[in-house]
Amino acid sequence: MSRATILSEWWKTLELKKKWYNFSRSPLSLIGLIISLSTIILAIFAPWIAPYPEHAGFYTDFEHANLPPSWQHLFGTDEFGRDVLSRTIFGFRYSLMMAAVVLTLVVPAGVILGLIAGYYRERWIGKLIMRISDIFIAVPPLVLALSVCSLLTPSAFHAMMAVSLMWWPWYTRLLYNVTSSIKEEYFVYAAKVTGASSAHIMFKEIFPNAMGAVLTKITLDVGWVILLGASLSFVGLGAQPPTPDLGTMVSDGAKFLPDYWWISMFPALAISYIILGFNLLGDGIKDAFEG
Amino acid sequence: MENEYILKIQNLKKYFETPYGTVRAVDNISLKVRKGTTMGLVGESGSGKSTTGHVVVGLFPPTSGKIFFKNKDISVPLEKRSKELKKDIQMVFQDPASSLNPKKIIRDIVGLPLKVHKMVQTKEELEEKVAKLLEMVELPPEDFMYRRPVDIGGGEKQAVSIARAIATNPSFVIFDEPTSALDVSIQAKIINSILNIQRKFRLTSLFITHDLSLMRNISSEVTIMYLGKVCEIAPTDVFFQKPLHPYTQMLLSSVPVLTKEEEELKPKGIKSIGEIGSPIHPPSGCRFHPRCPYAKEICKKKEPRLIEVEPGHFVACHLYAEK
Repeated sequence: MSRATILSEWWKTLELKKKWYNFSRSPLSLIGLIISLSTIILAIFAPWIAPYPEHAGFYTDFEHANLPPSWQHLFGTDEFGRDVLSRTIFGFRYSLMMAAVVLTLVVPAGVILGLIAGYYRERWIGKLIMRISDIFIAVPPLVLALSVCSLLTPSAFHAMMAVSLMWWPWYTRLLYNVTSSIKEEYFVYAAKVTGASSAHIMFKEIFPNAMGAVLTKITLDVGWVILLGASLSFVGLGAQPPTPDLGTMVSDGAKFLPDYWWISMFPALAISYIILGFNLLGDGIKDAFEG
Repeated sequence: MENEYILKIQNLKKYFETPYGTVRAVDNISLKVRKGTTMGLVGESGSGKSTTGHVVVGLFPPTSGKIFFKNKDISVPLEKRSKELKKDIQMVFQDPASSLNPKKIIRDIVGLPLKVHKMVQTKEELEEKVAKLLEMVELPPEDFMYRRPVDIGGGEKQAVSIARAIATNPSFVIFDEPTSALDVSIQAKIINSILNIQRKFRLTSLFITHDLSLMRNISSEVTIMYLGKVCEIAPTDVFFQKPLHPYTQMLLSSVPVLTKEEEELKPKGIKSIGEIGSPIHPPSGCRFHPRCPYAKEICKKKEPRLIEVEPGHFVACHLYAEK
């Protein structure tokens, strides 16, 4: 290794160390990281972790229906005799998948549109993009998602599409704001003067400065997308039974409240758990990039 | 052809539309810069000197007027300028903190012009050239190449800015108050490297500043601007010995000095009063008349033209109009 490579590596490691220091300064960020990681691990290894993996799908055992929490069934069983703990663990899969699909669709589209809108804010293209995103932002997200879903046959896929449709404008707005302020910085002027292309300026000069904000927003959004997805499932417009979706489970159990409280209480707590984890993690990431 | 004019600005105007009215940042100025010389552009904040620089590099298209560079009309928006031209004109900006991308390492910042103009092919070539450029501004390349702007000081940032500006080997560089944001101790260092580079590359430059003592060291000619207008243009030595415009005299008499001898060299009888007016509602006639101790009736009504009182020495003032 040449001396140059060593030096370059050294500065890169220092950079990461600084970020980790800023992140780990707050114990809440660490808690957030642990919670988020635990949900991801549960989701990936659900078939091996869940005590009754077969209870995730079609399965009935009416003899053991509506049992309260016990050592056999830590979270109790539901009306069909399925283990609520197992279904909750599988529920993480669907929730996180929802967030992953929605965000992979929404983030690149929103980011690119926002960069273009901010960079060309005086031109018609920038104004057009922002006016369209304003229309989407003006309608409450749940109302919009509900109306789109009710037009289509209820399914997890359609719910994802509906949430994606109303989510991109937030990234567009975020990038628009960052871009319109950064494009007046002298380093952007310098790149323009020297003849760098607009694409280079948008993606290589401006975007890296928005990375922190985007990562923070993605992490925070994991929780909110899951909540919105669960809300859609709750009213029956999302994943259909017997899919162990957390929102569907809360809604199924709701009819047995307050007697068989465990059927909806534990999935509801699970939703809170994911949202809490990713929110704390998001705050930590914000600290890491800003500190 | 040492006396050839590399840059000619003719009747340049740059107005900005704002909610409060039209800002006449640069209002009908003309000046010429000779090849291999440094033109100093001096004025208070708000006099339009930075705007002039920005218009010349193409960041803003002029409202009207022409700019000629090497006898080619360059008064077009930046997108319409050729790559060759962008390679030939560079700028060092005022604020070192904002002129370097905080997310990039110095190698990539200085290397950007080299990449854009395809002057390097491989990473090794890039590092080699960047190292040479950093050496020119007295930054040890190995120490700086892989750092980010947040990890280096203000003076070092400005040195990096300068290295970037000379990367493409331009013939014309605009320095926009390159030292105004720096500590006095660092200013001298930066000025020295600018002087060295100017000599080495036989650079022509436009040096924008409000620091008159700095101007004396660095420029061969000085242009004084006030509220978007040119007041006086003169070779540097003439300018300091025989300032004609009352505004120039006011500026020179407000330079702080230490010794009595220096005090005696300063023009007498002009005290600095008032502040620069509004570029939205500039004063009528001569824009300097509200602050001028010699203001006459005509100064309020008629705008003075720039006249050549002696070879190379221009002034825009009614006091010299009849001579």
